[in-house]
Amino acid sequence: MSSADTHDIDYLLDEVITLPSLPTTVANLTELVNDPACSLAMVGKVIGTDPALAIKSLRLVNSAYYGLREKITSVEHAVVLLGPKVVKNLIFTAAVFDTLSEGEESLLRHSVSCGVVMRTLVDSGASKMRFAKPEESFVFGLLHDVGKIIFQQFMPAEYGQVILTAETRGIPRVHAEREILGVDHAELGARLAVKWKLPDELAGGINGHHDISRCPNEAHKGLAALLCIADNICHASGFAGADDVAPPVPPEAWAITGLDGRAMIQVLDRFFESVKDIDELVALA
Amino acid sequence: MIAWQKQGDAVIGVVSLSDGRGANAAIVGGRANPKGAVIIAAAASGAPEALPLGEAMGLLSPGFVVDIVCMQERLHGEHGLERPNL
Repeated sequence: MSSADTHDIDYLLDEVITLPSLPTTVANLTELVNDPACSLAMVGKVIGTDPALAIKSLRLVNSAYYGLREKITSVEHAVVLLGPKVVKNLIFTAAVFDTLSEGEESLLRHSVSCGVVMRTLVDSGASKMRFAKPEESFVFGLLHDVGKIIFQQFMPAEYGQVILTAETRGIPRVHAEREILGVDHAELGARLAVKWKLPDELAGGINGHHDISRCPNEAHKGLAALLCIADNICHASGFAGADDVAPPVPPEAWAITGLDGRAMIQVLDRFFESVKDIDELVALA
Repeated sequence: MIAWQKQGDAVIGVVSLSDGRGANAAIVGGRANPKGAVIIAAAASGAPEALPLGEAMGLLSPGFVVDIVCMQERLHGEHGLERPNL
């Protein structure tokens, strides 16, 4: 593919890019926790098949960010104390950390900070609308830019041109991606979410986080708006990653979420308190 | 996002207010100081008036509030945010 060619997403996925698979452990666990007959022992057994992921999950849940009073010493302990669904989310988060660790460290920091902001936005209740569950919001933020990592892995030369163009012209990377590749990281990340059978609204939210008009319904729009706002907070607070120019938050995003300036100050106060945990989380990846 | 510039001890950026006026946001101190961030706009008389951020909230979009508070925290806060390169 010449760097001057642009293509649609289906061409790239057929000919150029192979989306990574979700680790079998996570897929099995997701299926298991949705089964009413699921037992704690069965959950422990599935997690035990992937010791590396289990260890990473334990390091994650014992980090200062999770703020548990009791140290979790084993997967079985985590399952009993936190419940199967929380542990499934934890294992999934650890798997996403693995995927993100393939990219630039600055992008990892940006993604982690976006996860922290997302959780703060959802936990704070500042938005009157519930677009995500608190326990899922961190990993939703982590995943929003995963498309950038996939571009860098499969199209390093072309993506290098994207980065150079964005830097030279002072435009957001997402605009350079559309111009040079014909597809942006949001669209690609959404395809990964579909492949991993993540919630529909997450795929829609990732797809729309730089263009809410792509979202087909209110649930998708709500999550896209929250991701867009979280992304913007990361840029404003110095967690931009290597992409220094932030696309603006459209007025629609503020209207959908019902967030105003006073609510944002509350959110920012809580986020600033969590900043100290970001380095520890990045080191876990 | 606001394009910030250093002017002496202050950091200044252009904002637009919900009543249509153009204004400057000026950061001169930390968040504990109510006048650490002010919005400077022309009053009805034409003379410039400086409103502390807390009093100008109704005139600013949430995006401007985020930009101003984050920059204030980066410049004067103690939470370890990266210092801006201005």
